[in-house]
Amino acid sequence: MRDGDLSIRVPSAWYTGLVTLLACLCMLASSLLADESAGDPQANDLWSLAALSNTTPPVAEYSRWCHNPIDRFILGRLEAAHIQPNASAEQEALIRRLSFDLLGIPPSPSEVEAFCKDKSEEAYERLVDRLLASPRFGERWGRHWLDIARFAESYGFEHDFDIESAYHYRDFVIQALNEDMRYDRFVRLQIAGDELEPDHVPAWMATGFLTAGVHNWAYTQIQVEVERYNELDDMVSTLGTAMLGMNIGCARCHDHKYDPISQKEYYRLLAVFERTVRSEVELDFDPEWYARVKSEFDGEHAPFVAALERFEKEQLPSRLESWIPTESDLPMPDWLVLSMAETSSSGGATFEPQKDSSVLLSGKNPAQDDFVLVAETQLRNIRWLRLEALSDSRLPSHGPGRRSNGNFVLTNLRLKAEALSGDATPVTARWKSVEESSHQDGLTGASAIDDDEKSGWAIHPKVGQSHWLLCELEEPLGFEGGTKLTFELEFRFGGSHVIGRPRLSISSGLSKPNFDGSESPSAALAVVEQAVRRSMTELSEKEKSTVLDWYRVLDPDWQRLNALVQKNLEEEPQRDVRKVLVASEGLEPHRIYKPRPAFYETTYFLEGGDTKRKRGEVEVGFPSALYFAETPVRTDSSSSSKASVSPRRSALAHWITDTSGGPGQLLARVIVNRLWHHHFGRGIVATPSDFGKQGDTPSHPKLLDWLAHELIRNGWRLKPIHRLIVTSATYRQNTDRDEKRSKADPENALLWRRSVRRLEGEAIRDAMLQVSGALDSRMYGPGTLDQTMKRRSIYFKVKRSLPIPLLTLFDSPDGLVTVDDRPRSTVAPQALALMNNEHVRGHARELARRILASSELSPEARIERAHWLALGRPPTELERDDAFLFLGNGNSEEALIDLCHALFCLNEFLYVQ
Amino acid sequence: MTINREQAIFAPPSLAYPTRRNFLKRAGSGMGLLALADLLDGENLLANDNVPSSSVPAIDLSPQRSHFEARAKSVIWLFMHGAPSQIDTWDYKPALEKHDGQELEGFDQSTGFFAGRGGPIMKSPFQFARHGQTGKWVSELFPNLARHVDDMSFIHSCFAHENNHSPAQFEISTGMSRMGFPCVGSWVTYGLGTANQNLPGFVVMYDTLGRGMPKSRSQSWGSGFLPGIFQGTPLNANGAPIDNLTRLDEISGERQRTQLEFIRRRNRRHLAANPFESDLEARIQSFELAYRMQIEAPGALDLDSEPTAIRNLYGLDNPRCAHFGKQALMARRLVERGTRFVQIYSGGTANHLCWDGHDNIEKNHRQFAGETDLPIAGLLDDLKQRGLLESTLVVWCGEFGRLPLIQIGGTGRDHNPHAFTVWMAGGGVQPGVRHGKTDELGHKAVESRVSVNDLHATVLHLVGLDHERLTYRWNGRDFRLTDVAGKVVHEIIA
Repeated sequence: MRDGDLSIRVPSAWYTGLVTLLACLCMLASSLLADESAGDPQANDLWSLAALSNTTPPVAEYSRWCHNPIDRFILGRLEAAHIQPNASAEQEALIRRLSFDLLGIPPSPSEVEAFCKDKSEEAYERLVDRLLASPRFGERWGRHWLDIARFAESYGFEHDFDIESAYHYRDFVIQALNEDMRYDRFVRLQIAGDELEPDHVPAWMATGFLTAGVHNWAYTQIQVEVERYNELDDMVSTLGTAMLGMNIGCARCHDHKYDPISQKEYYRLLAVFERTVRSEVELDFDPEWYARVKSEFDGEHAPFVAALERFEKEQLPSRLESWIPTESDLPMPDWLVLSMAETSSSGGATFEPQKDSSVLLSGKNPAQDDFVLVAETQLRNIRWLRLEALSDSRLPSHGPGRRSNGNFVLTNLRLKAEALSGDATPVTARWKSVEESSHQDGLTGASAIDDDEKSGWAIHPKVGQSHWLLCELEEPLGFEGGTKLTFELEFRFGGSHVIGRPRLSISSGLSKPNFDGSESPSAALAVVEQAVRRSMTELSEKEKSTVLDWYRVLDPDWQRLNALVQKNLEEEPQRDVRKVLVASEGLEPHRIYKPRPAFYETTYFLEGGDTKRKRGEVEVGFPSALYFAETPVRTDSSSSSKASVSPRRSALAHWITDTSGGPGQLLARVIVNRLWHHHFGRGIVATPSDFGKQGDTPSHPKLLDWLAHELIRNGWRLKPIHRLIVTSATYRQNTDRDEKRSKADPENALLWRRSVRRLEGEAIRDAMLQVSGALDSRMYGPGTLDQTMKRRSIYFKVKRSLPIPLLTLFDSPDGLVTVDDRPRSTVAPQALALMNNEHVRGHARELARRILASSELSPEARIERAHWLALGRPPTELERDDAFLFLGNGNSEEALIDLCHALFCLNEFLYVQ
Repeated sequence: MTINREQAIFAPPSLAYPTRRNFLKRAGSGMGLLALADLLDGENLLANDNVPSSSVPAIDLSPQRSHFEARAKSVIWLFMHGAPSQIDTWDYKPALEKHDGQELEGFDQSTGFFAGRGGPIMKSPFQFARHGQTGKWVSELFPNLARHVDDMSFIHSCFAHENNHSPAQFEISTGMSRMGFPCVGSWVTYGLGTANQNLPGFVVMYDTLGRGMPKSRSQSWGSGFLPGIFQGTPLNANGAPIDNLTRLDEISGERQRTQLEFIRRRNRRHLAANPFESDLEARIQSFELAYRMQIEAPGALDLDSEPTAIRNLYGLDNPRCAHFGKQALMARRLVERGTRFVQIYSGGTANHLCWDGHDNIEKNHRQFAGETDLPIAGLLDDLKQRGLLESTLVVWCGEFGRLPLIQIGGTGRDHNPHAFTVWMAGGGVQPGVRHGKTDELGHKAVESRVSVNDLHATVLHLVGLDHERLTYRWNGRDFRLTDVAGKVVHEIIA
């Protein structure tokens, strides 16, 4: 039977002196701040909320053992308990341990050999520095943080929609850890990066911390508000657990039984995120790169433009002189492009005329829309119509539609023609045939001219590029004296499937014009027609220029030079703009079911967490017990409450990292303990996300405080703390144990030895990839569900309903809640996977091929090489003989694969000493 | 269960690794190799040693003692995905006939999923008749299950808090309507371990006709914050039922045994250098367990060995229900062999592919009752004739009930969290009980109301676990399946 431990831990005696002081501070804080105090007045004497003690490392007797101050703290406790610590592990064990702890992959044989040759202290420190500087470090420690941040790339629940822009948060974490970003800034950016550093792309990416939780998309009307409170609870709870080691979410329904946060305070904290929504923003990831390559391109492009300009200046005028068309056979370009005289949108969208006579839609983006576009032309015998839907970086996914994915559905296209003179009966165009650049399954161009609003023309998945629809008219249109053309474009599909930048052209060609044939503005036609009746010399300069424009598109040499310019323009660099999932205010909410509100303007205190029992509005505020200083910093809620972009999150971010006014000292304690936890398998506080009364008390409170001090003193840099920890003698101990010491301290809480630990699922897989030489070291970017991918496991997409089987089997989390200490289970299905999984076998095959590729080796040499690669050491004589026998008579590739496969199943491979 | 160390570890009838004599013959000669053979012999002795374990309990699936004696050793949970209508199945309401077509006064239109689509009262399209000695009214949907009503115990007064599928499925699976909490099967396996280490302790089966997974997906058998080993093992709908259970073709059986012996020797030697490491020992055993699972599980999962009469008892000869019959038969084979918890889903993902009868309750329920009635009745017969019903708790439920009203636009019924019927049988359940009541129309549970927490407390009680004592410490709190609530429904317990 498994009974939980229900005893409430009594605070130990070491800090009782601080209690009185703290209680006074808290009372003061409460009186200044709030009308209610914490749930449990006793809770305020919590060790973790006391100020950091100002300790110096104790003087230990057996000081020869000590490498750095950490060891003096550790040794002090060990000496008191009469337990002797272990000596340092062997070199080859140390480099393997360091490599897995810091990078999550094993060292290469040559790295091991080089390190084992040089036994100096400097060699160890150089190794530590090299590993800390490796880009693999961020991928290793980033995964630890993603566990804390319940990171995933899908929404969960019934539909479990993918969030394609969520991966940026993972990239932010990896990059920030590699660059050793100050931890206080790392925290602040995750809470309010968009407000604090709006010009800094990673700051926006960081807010993915707030958005990483699940989101229920399909829920009914009466649950909307409940779901919103769930979402806010997820943000606040995760923040409390991850950063402060406090279970704030427990105060949702009642005052916290153990921890010093009242229910009111919980709701005041929720109010910080009142208007915070998930959204996607498009960010320029590398403006400097763009400026550089753009200027390079412009330099290379200039000669093409110059050639064209020179031709236009030197050749074209004289050619025009000899071009005297007669009215009857006025040469025509393929297309006359219409300029819109009138535009209207039934949904209230705005049209902005563009240089190329297209119009760009902006402003309101209704679900359905009908455009009416009016243009005039002198062209008679209009036989063809071309509708272009142009791509544009200002449209979602670069368009051409206004739907978030860039798609559109044109349900109907109609054209009415009236004589400008008003003398003739208006005519409605009838279509003879239609052709389109591309269409989505079943949504063809023909569906746009069938007068059926249930069918239409769409182009997904070919979004982000321009499309065209080419219609042939049943009978030519156009009136003497000019024609008014009224186009009706209907988009009745819903979901903003509307063309974002349309452009219309007409042609009188007897045969079908090319969709990308020569073109001139339609307005030029009248001028040219008049001009050719007179002599060129009679024309005004402006008229001459219009005629010139008309002529040049027909000139073969101009066409050739222009084609060169256009072709080169295709190579023009584009800004590196990417969509990023962010948390912010005042932006369009991402994937919120439209008719439902994404947030409520007021946060209420809910009795029992029940939205039906609202008990008054709450104002933003921070838990009083977490104020460390005598003068608590208050946020000015009057200035922030109703602004569209509120500084509430900035205030929280500053407060949480404030070591004198806010809980910054607790923040430091929690993070140094997390580092310690991952290096030793057990934190100084064994409950890394629970520094409350239900959690454990620190095994080495002074060491914890000293490390927290070191962190703050060193400008919140984490790498120096890693360095301190791994260069300590405590860390370097071997794994030896004996009965006597095991009995005295069975859990090794005093750290007299190194614990043997199983690798995580990611590290097992990455190690197989690494030793077989197949690891693809490309960093960053979207995740994938393809199990054959060769990048590190952190780049698997975390889809909540489709976890990667091999990782799940070895206890990888599912991204639903904060996980600080993964279970390390030992079950038969893991062994089955190691024995029978095709991917494991595949890695073994790669390793065997890698060995075979390194020239003609004898069986013994192959065995030796396999051991070096997989285990970082040569086989013992016994092991070599055993393996030799296992290989059998056949020195075949298959036998070698079997051996490599067996090495992956060894405890020595799966565990780190 | 302890592992019999006297057995040959990887169970080859003939020694795959060469005997000492063969070995010497094959290897030629040489003192080194001779010494090796001696050493290898010596290591077999080491394998029999008990390695002292550390004080940290290993996370494993070994059987655990229950809090108190209980009859139920296993649970088969039959989940009617999409929510069957209580008033068309087990909760007979003659008043519906009388009020058919009338408006239900004071009805809150936000009750159902489709707000504003609640029409007038609709009588059940099915005939009801009394069955068994207890005279239980049963809808014509269940001609076969009706034979068993005297063995079943009904709770008519269940209610849920959620009116939409996935949160309600989270609620009935985990007690919480949010994602991320351990489900009943995980809690039971965590509390009791499992009796047969060669089979998964908690098995899940969902639709095999390609109609998809339950709406709550793998969350319905997820272990939440409990260690992953307590999560359900879903049998794959197609192909090999369990991942990695089958040896890859490219390695022969004999070769794999040789390989496993090699791994074992190496791991033993490694353990000898790291004494007291209980996890290293556990992992050595896990390979032995895995190997036995590879040998035993395919047999357990192979229905071909069942006699025709038994196969037909579950409706395997009936194309309408053969798919569900196979799963019910599989469930019996698994609990017979010691699997702790089996969860079977009727129906696929989309509304019309499961019990979610929004449009046409008659057509919908005829189909899904037709797919399950015969197999479940066969399961109860079979468990009974083998004496397994005593030790197997069978639970039948959906995630909520349905409204006694017509859903505007069709002849179906919308969701109703206020009332649904759950029945249980076997495993220490008092037979023939009818517990709780709904109102005259079956709209709301009114008498002896039973929440999902109460239901969970009752199931845990039936397997010998006290829902208030079965806790797990996570992020600073002791969590329970029943959170801070739950009352055992003693009335249905024998």
